Amino acid sequence: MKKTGYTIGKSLGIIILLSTLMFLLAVISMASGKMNLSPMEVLNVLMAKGTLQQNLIVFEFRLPRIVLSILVGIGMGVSGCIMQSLLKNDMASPGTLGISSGSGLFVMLYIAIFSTKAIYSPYILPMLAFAGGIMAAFVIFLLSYRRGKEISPTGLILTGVATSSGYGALSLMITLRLNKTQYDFAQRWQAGSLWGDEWRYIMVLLPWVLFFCLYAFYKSRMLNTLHLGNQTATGLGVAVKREFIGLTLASVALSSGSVALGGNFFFVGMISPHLGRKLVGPNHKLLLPASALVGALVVLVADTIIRTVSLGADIPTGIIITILSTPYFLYLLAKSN
Amino acid sequence: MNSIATEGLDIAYDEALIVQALDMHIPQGKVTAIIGPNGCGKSTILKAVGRILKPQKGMVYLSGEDIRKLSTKEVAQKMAILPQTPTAPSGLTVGELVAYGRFPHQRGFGKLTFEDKKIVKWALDVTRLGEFECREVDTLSGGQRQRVWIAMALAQQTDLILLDEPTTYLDLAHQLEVLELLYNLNRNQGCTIIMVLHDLNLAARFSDYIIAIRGGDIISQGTPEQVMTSSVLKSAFNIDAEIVKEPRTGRPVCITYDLMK
Repeated sequence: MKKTGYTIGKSLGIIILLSTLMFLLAVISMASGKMNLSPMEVLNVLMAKGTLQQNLIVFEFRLPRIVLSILVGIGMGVSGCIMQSLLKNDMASPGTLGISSGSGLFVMLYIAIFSTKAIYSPYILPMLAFAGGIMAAFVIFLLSYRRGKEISPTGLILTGVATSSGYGALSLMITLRLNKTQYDFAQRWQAGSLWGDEWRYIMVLLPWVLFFCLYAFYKSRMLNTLHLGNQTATGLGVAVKREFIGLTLASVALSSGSVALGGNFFFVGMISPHLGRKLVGPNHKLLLPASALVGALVVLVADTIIRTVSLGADIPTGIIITILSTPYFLYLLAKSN
Repeated sequence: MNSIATEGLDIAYDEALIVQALDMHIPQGKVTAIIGPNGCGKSTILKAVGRILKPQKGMVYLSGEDIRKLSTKEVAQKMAILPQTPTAPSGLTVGELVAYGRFPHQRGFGKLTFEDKKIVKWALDVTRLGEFECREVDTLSGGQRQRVWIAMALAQQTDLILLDEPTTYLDLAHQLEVLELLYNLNRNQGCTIIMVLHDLNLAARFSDYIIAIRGGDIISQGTPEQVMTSSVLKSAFNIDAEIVKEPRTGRPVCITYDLMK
């Protein structure tokens, strides 16, 4: 059978479907938790017709967490998508390249030095995470760059995994010296606890994610051509170096924002663009939104499960994602050989 | 009239100088083949001319203009370059890939205009790919895939097309198919074609001008008859070759060869 490609109409349909799915899931998520509301009650609350108690539950407890889940998922999905296309490698992601761990190390350092009480400004952690991510990206570039040769994708990933373990070990060393509160925070943060679920943090993350996503979307034409290889892109008239740097910064910024306020979501950045590509094909005008939506859905599903199925202890969202994603990751690995 | 000229070009990888003080002139409106042994620097020269590699020293002139004074986008409006064995991301359709050739003529978000779509359709027709427009590139055969990349270069609508070994990994029939396509583009559309080729007989058959390179230097250049001689092949490849006139095309052809004793 002849395999025909993705058509724009079909892919747009899938994106609309994903958006609808996300909206429905958000409503379900708002309704579920320790105190159940019916979907109708949720809609009432959203239309400003709820009771005081319902308002409190939805607007102060659940909605910020849902919005945070969505933003973290979008950030990771788009960040991973940019990295995979720039490096032409399905395994690339903020996690595998050690960017997230670099961000994490800086966050840990700050907590160790100033304690969790010192996170008085919502800007501090994202900025620190960004600095850590840039540092990690720079180290990887230094280690894998050979003059006059194109960077080998496998070498890059191996370097990423190696440096990532390095940052992990350093972070662990730091956590061992922490006091009880700091240690708890650090542990839960490492596992992806979505701790920044307060409006004041979200008001920082929202414009951040929005800005860099729009930038990446505006550059989707560049991503399309860079995905063909640097030489072909040069031939087509892309200023490869400049676009590469700009897009790398954007992808590090997106993953840092997610890492800072959500925690370490290793798999979301790798799997969302991969699923997105399966759904809508490699055209970035569709692939970027699809990766963003898949990322948001993954985090939202995981968080809703965590909040609904009370497993006794307060389990971080990232753990569920890791459990859900490991089989998919293994499948990817098996297929790549 | 030269479409491409270089002046005192030095090209190096790391510290090793591959090409030194190269002065090369490529005629406009012709098919030019660059030949030479492995590692002689022929691909390197093509990349430097196509501004994929930055030369250490010297100048490249594109229709008389210093290529460094033009933005990479302006260059892409005048010259298309296809690297050796480019790869398409899986899932990309033929139509989409060919449409990427419109890149240097687009702005901002890059929506395809009516004009763009007309040119893409033309490029698909010329390369006989019309029926494959919705097929994924990675489901096609090697020869078809190479035609897709040529179609992308055509959609760039440049007077000049550079190709690095466009027949690599293709069987005999597909090699001919690709070279005939390029030959016809030159004859019918007036494109200047510059390509690096491995196969001497194909180079002699399809090009108007041949440049033979050894050790980064031009050792002979001119019409196929002038370059395809046993003495040139001896100094270029260190082979003892026997050249005759091929009865079907009238072009010189190397019928047998041995290593120099």
